[in-house]
Amino acid sequence: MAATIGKTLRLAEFWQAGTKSLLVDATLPGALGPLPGLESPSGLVERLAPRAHGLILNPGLAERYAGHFAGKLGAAPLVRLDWTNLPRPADFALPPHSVQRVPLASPTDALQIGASAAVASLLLGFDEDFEAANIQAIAFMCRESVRVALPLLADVVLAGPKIEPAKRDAAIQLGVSFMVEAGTDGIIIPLPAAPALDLLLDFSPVPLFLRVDTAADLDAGRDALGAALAAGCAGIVIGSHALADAGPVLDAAGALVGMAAS
Amino acid sequence: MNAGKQQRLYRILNPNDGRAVCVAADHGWMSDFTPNVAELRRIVGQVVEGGADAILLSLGQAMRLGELLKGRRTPALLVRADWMNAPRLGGSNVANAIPQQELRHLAIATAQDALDLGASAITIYLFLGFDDETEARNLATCAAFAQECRRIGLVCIIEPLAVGASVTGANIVDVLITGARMAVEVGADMLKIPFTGDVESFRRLVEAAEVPVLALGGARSERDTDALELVAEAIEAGGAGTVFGRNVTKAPDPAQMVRDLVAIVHEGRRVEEIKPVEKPGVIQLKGLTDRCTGCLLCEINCALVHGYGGNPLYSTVKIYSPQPDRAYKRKTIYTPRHCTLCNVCVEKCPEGALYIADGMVHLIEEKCNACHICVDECPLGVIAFRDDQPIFCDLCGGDPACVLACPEDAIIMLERGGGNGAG
Repeated sequence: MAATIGKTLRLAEFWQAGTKSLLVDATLPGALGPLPGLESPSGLVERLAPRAHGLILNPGLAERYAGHFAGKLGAAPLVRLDWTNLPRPADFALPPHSVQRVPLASPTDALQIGASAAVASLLLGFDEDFEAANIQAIAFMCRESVRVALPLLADVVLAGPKIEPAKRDAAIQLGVSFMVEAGTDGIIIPLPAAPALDLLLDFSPVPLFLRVDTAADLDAGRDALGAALAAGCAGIVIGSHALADAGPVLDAAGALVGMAAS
Repeated sequence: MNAGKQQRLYRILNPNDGRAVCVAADHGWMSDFTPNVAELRRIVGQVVEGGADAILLSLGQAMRLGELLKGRRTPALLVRADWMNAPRLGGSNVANAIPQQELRHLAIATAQDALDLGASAITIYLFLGFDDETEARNLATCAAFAQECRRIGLVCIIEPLAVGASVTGANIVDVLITGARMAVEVGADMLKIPFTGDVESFRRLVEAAEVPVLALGGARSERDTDALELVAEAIEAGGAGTVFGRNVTKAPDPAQMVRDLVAIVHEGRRVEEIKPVEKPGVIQLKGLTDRCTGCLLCEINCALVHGYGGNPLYSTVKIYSPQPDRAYKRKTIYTPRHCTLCNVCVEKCPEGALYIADGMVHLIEEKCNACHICVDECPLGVIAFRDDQPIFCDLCGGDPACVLACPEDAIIMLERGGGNGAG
């Protein structure tokens, strides 16, 4: 019971039922180095924290810059528990030869850093060993998150060679189903088509957040995102690539979220 | 058995008869997002309403739906402590969102996690028929869970499944019996296991286990009565009940399906009492997968006796063999198929040219316009077609040619609603 109320209170630090939240994911420099707009670790926290309900950081920055958050007035800190080389393009300075995902911290570590929630990736579409290990890791994090009363969000990413464009929505549904059954407390997903999203919203007992990776995606998908928020999605997660010129992007995303919440 | 296990065992089994009607509702943890997954909350509510003894959920769903299980006479909670990708193996299933090619099976929780949620038992798979390493690793996982369950007083249910490459129609019964015994030897308190196909072999399995054995139903049966008959036979063989999944969660009325199962398992009622046979007849055929070798003599003899020169194309019994499954690398399994009086052809015929009487489908020739719809719609593919007319099984006047021809007794004759007419 204590764990339940603990999770409820911490989740409410950045999202509550009936509201819409804007989350910002600033973790990609962990794989890609200093991205445009995210060059300064301390600066990104100071700049982004007042603009969002939640700021997703890797554990190192979350700990080092804990004092740069604005308390109740700014974003709640969310800590990413794992790392992947998936975002690296083939022409990157350290080109990836195989996809990797490794743990960076545990829910207990995140709690000790002062996080309001933890975030873990479910990378779908890769081989059996990779998928099984990923699911097992998240399942164990779920158990630990219950014990330490820290909400755990799953970030469902469709990326592997097994993802067929024609089955994209079904793959998103599979990922959500897996993460609900695993016991996560919220799920970040790419935007599916409206019929698939309606089914998911009826099904999911936990909040669904929509991932927007780039400013162009936000611009092109504004109507669809607005409709999805109105249909019941819990909020938007703005990805690191969209933060090169963060001001207009966060203004636009904030307006979408605000409109849906009103 | 320690006190904790004893208490929890009788949260699952009815203390009066030592039997249980359990429902598996953990499919969303391992397979596609199907309606029975999407509507789980409603379905669990109906399972509770139907009076099930226990329900199997994933840990995540147990945390959220556990509130539906509050109360003295509500189902006990069983928690799935592992994860696997078996339902997603193979690329031919168009509903498979992200197909997988090789089996993966992992523990994803501890027994203590399940106990903390208020569970009475955990359930874990024991996959049989794959390579030696997979079997050994899986057995070690089962043993580790069994030991943890012993320490904390939680019931350990092991679910042997015979699905690997080494499993054939000829050896599947032996594999399941072996798996049942292996599970007990490492510490299972109860088994959840596929029905072996007939009373005699399932009795051997039950006797080899000496722990309560719950028969599972597998894929949803075409007719509820098929599923209920499976349970009745499992009980006759000494089974302790059932763990039905899709036969309940995909049923039009899950609560009624549970009530029907309760009537059979706990009240000793016969299937015919619950679901009166609407289509009268004297005899019926039954195909036995575990005996069939795929020799096709039944098809040939059927076509021969009916004057079609032994051409299997015109036979109304068919040997079904799924496409070899690369994922499982399994050897071919053959299933004799015959008319089950499912009524689909009668319902689909646009001319009303078909009706069922005396245990078979009859054709009103003057109404038939040779549209072929009955042939196309037959879910079992056992309607032949020749000379612009469909051909239906006529049971050979009570002495079926397929039964006579089969050297393995893989097709037998039953008295409709009664015992074995073949003696």
